[in-house]
Amino acid sequence: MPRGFPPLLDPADRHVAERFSYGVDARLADEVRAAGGGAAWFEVQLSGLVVESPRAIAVATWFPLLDLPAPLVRSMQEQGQRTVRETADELIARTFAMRTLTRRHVHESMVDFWTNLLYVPAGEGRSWPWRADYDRVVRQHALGTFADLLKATVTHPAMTGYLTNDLNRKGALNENLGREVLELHTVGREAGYSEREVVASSKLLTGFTLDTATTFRAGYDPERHATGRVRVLDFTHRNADADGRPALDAYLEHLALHPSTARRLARRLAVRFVSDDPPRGLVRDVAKAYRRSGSDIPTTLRALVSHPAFRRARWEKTRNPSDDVVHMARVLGLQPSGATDSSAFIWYLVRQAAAQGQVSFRWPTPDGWPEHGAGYLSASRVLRAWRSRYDVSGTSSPVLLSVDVPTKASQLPDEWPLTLAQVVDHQSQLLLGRAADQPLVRAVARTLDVPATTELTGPDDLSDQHYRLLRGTVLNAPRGLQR
Amino acid sequence: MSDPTTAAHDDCGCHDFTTTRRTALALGAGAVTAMVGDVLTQTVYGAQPRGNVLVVLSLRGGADGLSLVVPHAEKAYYDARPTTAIPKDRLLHADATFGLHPAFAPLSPLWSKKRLAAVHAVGLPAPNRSHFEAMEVLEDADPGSDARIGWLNRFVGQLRGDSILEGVQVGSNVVPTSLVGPRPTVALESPSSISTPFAGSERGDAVARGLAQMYGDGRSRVHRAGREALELARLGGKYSEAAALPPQHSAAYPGSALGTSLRRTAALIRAGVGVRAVAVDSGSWDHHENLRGNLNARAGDLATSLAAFFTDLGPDWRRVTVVTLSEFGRRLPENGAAGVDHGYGSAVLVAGGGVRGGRYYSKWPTLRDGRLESGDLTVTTDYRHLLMEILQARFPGVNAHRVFPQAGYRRRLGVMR
Repeated sequence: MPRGFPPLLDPADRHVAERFSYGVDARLADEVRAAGGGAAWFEVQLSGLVVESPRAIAVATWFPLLDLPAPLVRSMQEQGQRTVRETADELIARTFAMRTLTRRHVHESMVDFWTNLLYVPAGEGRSWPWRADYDRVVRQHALGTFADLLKATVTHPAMTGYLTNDLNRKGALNENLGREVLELHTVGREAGYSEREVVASSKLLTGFTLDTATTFRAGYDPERHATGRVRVLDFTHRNADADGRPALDAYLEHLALHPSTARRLARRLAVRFVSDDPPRGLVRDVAKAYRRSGSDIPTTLRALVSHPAFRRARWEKTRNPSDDVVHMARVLGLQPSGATDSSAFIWYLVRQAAAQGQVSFRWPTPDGWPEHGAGYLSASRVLRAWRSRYDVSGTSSPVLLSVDVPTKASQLPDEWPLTLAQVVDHQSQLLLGRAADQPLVRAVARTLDVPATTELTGPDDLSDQHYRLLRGTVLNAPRGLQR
Repeated sequence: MSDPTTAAHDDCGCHDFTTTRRTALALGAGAVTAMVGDVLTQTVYGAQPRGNVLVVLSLRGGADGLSLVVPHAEKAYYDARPTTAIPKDRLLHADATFGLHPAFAPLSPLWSKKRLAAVHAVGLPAPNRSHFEAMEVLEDADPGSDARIGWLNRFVGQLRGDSILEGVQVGSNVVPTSLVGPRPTVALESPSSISTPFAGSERGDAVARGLAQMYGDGRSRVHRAGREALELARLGGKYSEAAALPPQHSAAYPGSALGTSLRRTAALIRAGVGVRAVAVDSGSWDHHENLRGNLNARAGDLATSLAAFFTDLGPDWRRVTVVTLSEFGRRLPENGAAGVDHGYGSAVLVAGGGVRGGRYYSKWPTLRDGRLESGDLTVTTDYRHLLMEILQARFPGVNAHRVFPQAGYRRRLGVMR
């Protein structure tokens, strides 16, 4: 390898960072090396001791109205100062910005995972003023225990509103949340509960209030709680107290530690982080770690990452569009610097994810976006992804506003002359984490309409247009959609 | 190229295409015919670019069939829904048993012209009150197999056409379960940007050749997706052009997601790019609260969109059959929020080419106590049997039993000619 090339990470080390970050840029590669490899880096990430990047911290100031108390968010909307859509879109843009700029890669990845499991869309009519606070709660528990996370989310006003639990009361049960807590959030249908048990589950959830008509104030009213003995799977409770929240906590704790929940979460984690069709042994082992640790999330993740099936699954996952646009920005070294208006780069990323068919928090139903990757490989998505890479791979373009763009020289080798093929190889290592193969070298040569053997004496020999086409084509290699 | 629907069977409704062309020319339907004719001459994909088309409208969330097609003769319906039942005198086209929801008024002309029928007590062969599982069962429709292959994919696979646009999801970029499978299908959220980078500029060809270089060989799912993308780009221009034109015949679509999707579906059909099966999502039928207001809005949107769609199609309506599907109906009784929770049997609308419309079809189980399934309307027509009837009438070369394995289809309802 000629000098001036970035040292490649060991493939196994890179694999951990590929799966638990939004894109391995040069900085992250250095961090993995500095930590002493993928497993050690993962431990550092789980420790909670990673210092957040100043840029990521500053993201909170981009959207100053997002974290106001829900009733105030609501009243601003009533007075016409802000729309529901604006509030929802800002949360999405802030999330994309955090994914692009964070150094707490594993935490951010898990926030994403849990948000998609305990799913509340952004901008939904009965929950929207509370949605940003819901995000805060998920962030707080993302690397704690699932039992705590479950209790915090199921009883949160955003979930209350979204799954109409405020309408679920003594004498007039509404089964919406009671059913989904079982089916989507914990044990799943395989657990084999009956319709009567769905009713019992709903009964335990009565008492929560939310004024969706005007103020969006949330509370708990024991008068609305349906008392009386309940049985759901192997959980029984007298449920005799007017305040049903202790009974509900016991119920959710029980569900969190249920073997069916362990299996279901293990499988979903494996589909997200290992492969679309994960081996049974992996799911079994991860579920075991989950149960033995009392739903401890770091312990569960360690079991997953140290599993031989995880190591074997290199490059088997394809990125969904939301992940992919952030990945594109990260590996190209594009750092968003603000969101003052809709021309800002961060909004471009959100629009691109939309054009490619998948934006976090915009899935309409309570099951969250599908976790498998192959379902997002529609031909139309691929065409739009290809076009998008060329939009952003140059040094300047109409979409590169409110973003720091690295100079051409900083992204090219230090030592010259080099052939075009060697420059392609360099860019492939930088952007894709691997050496260029022959089809890629030939594709770049065709795209630039010059022979691969052309000798270049320095960065200036590569016109801005050729630089853009070269990087765009490298990112458009099949490997560019995989992780 | 053998497209089964080109086979001429005099005893089936499959030659509507010829009729349509003749009618169109005879009427001298000026601009439309000229435009379509022009597109036709350019079409190299698909042996039969203007064959019959099936449009599946998914009413996701579990549509309340009892409100859409009201069994007004049932006292039990009015007893169970004190605040949300629809009075008989407000129903449209009522017969002795059923009547249509008042918000379906825009569909009245289709009903009167016998191009729209309603089928009741339709659903899955076994109750399943989970949205997600019911949807999976509904769209996969192969109980004996673990392979993730949807029924529309099995259907399109049998057509043996060669257009990437034979099976399309319109309105989303995610392929639904029904279309997933070995036959390449496409999800098209919008008609814009379906071309390779820099298409039309001097760079365009070189870039496309470069992409073809990288995706040309290789067996991975990503390689395959890349090749499908290149193929789509070759056809996408025709669709984009058709979609850029205003709707035909003064059709007025609502600005809703469904209206937009159906407007694009009409353009896709008109573009002559070989489309044969279209899946369209119309979400948010999950009315746990305020059934009356919510359903009124949904049904109105559905009716306006569908009416505009058939107006837009003009004489092409004869080769297009639309069927609505939902994963389940709703509970018979209202809940505490003037809504209805998940139930079982529901109602289906069938419209367009080949439909014997203007009437209701049902082996009506009634809402009497002993006839309910856990308190809800039961299912007397397996939704697969209805779809098989439609497939057999419209796509005689297709073996419906292979589209729906083990469905045990016996007797037609007579919905189709």
